[in-house]
Amino acid sequence: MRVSTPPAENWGCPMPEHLTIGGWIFLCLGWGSIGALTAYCFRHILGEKRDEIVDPVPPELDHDA
Amino acid sequence: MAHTRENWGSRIGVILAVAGSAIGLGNFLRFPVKAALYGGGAFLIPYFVAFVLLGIPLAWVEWTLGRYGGQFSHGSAPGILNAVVRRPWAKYAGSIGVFGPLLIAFYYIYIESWLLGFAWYSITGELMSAVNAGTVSAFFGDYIVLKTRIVNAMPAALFFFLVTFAINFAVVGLGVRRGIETLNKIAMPVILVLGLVLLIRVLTTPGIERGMAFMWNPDYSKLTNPRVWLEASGQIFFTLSIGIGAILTYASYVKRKQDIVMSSLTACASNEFAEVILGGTIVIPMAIVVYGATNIEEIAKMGAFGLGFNTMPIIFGKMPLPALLQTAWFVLLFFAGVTSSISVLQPSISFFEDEMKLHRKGAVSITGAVCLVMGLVAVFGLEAGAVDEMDFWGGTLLLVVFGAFEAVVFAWLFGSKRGWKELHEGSSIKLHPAFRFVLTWVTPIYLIVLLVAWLATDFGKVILLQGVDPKAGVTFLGCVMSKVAFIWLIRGMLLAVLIALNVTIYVAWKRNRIDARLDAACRELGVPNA
Repeated sequence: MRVSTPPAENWGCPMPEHLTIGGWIFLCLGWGSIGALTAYCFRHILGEKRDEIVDPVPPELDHDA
Repeated sequence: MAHTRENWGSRIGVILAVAGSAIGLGNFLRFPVKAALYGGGAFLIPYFVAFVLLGIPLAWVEWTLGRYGGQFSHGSAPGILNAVVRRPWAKYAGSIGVFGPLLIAFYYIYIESWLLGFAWYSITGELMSAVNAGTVSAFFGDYIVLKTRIVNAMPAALFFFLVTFAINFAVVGLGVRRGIETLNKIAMPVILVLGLVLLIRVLTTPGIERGMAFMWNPDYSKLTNPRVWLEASGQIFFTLSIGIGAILTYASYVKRKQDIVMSSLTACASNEFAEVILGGTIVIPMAIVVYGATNIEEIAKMGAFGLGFNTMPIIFGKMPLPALLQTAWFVLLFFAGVTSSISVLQPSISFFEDEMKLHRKGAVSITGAVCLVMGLVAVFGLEAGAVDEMDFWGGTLLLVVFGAFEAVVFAWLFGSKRGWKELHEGSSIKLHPAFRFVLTWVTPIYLIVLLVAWLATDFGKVILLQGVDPKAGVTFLGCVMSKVAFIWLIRGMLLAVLIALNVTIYVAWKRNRIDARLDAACRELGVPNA
C-alpha cells in the first residue's frame, strides 16, 4: 500500500552473473515454503466436506434469518 | 429501523476477499525493491521471522476480534472494540480503525486510477509510442500532474480517477456478498493467471539468471543492520493489510462456527505467493536483464512507481507483443489495486450501517462524499505533497499504532485464554501452544518495539517537518503557499475528518442507548415499538 519511495543509498548489492549456492538455497526455500504452505492451505480448505465448513449458526446470532 | 447484517456467501469468498485486500501494488513493486536493497535472498530471513511472529499472529487477532464483534452486529473497529473491551474509551480508540482505512482510500483510488489509465494507453498504443520515443518518464510525469488531456479537455488523470471511483463505489454499493465477494472471485483468478503468464515470460527470457542472481544471492552482511529487520517487519505489516481495520470488518461477516484459523492462514499464504514468487521474480530480475547491473542504481532511484510505470513498459516494449504484455501488467496491477481499495472503504460503510443504522445506500453515499472531496484534494494536491502526507499517516503510522493496539487488546484485555478459545471456535486444526505464547507476549511486544523504533526514526523528520525546506512554495488550486503551510492544511483537514468521526461515534452510541431503553420499555409494556 505504501507510496513512499524507498531510499536508494543502500543499493549496492554484488552483481554476480549466476546464482550462487546460497542464492539457489534461498530461492528454493522461499519458493518452496510459500508454495507448500499455499498448496497445503488450499488443499485443506477445498478438500473439506461442505457440512464440516460451516456449522449451523444459533438462531439468536443468525442475522440473515 | 430494522437492520440485518450480511454474511459471506462462501468460505472461499471471504478468503479471496482478505487475500485481495492484502495483494496490492506493494507485492509487485515494493517487496522486490526492499529485498534487493536489503540483502537479496538474506532479506528473507528477517522477512519470514516477521511473517511468523508478527504477520500470521496479528492476522489471527484481527479475524478473531472481527468475528467476535460480528456476533453483536458490529462490523467496524469502534463497535468491535467496544464489545471486546467493554469500556467507554474503546469505541473512540477504535475510530482509528475506521479513519485509517478511509485515509488510505483518499489517495489510493487515485493511484489505482493511474493503472486503469495506463492499461487504456497500453491498449490504444499511446504508451508504446512514448516508449519508442523515449519519453515514457515524461508521459507518466505529465499524466499524474493532470497535464495530459482527454475528451472534453478534462485531464486524463481526473477522468480515470472518476471512473475508478465509480467502479469502487459500485462494487461496495452492491454489498458484501454481491459486490465485494463477487469481484474478488473474478479478480483473484485474473491476478493469478496474468501473474503466471508474466512469470513464465520472465523466466524464459535469455540472461534471466543474472537478474535472479541479483535478486536472490544472499548478502549476509546486511543482516547485522537493525534497519533491515525493521524494513522486513514493515513490509510484512503493509503487505498483509494488518493494522488497517479491513480484516476486522471482513471477519465480522464470517459465521460463528467458520474455521478462521485456516481461512486466515490461507489468505496470508496467498498473499505471500503473490509477493515472494510473483513479485520477487517479475520486476527486478527483468530490470537487470534489460538495463544491466550497472544501471540498476538509476532504476532504484526511480522508486517503486518509477519501476512500475516507467521501467516495466520499457522492458515489455523490448519484447514480442509489447502492447499485450503492457496491458497484462497494468490490468494485473489494477485488479490488485481495486481488491485492496474496496477493502479500505468497507470499514466506514459498516460503521454507518451498524452503528448509525443507515441503509447501505446511505452509508455508501456518506463514505463516497467524504472520499470524493478528499480524493480530489489528493488529485489536485499530488504535486504539492498531499498524497505523501496522507500516505505517512494512513499507510504507515496509523497501521502500526492500530496493529499494536489490537495485539494488546487481544492479549491483555480480551485475555489470551479467551482469545485462544475464540480463535479455535470452529477450527479444523489445533495450533501448537507455542503460538499462544507468541500471541500473548511476542506479537504485542514486537509491535510496541516496532512502533517506538518507527517514532524514533520518523518523528522529527516527518511529523515535525524537519526535512521540509521552510522557503519551498507550492501551488494548490491556484493558490500559492509555502509547503509547510500546505502540509499543515492537509493535516487540519484530516484532523477535521477524525473529529467528525468521533462526534458521530458519540451520537451513535447515545442514540443506540436511547433506542435500547425504548425497546426495553416497549417490551415491558407489551406494546409494539414503532
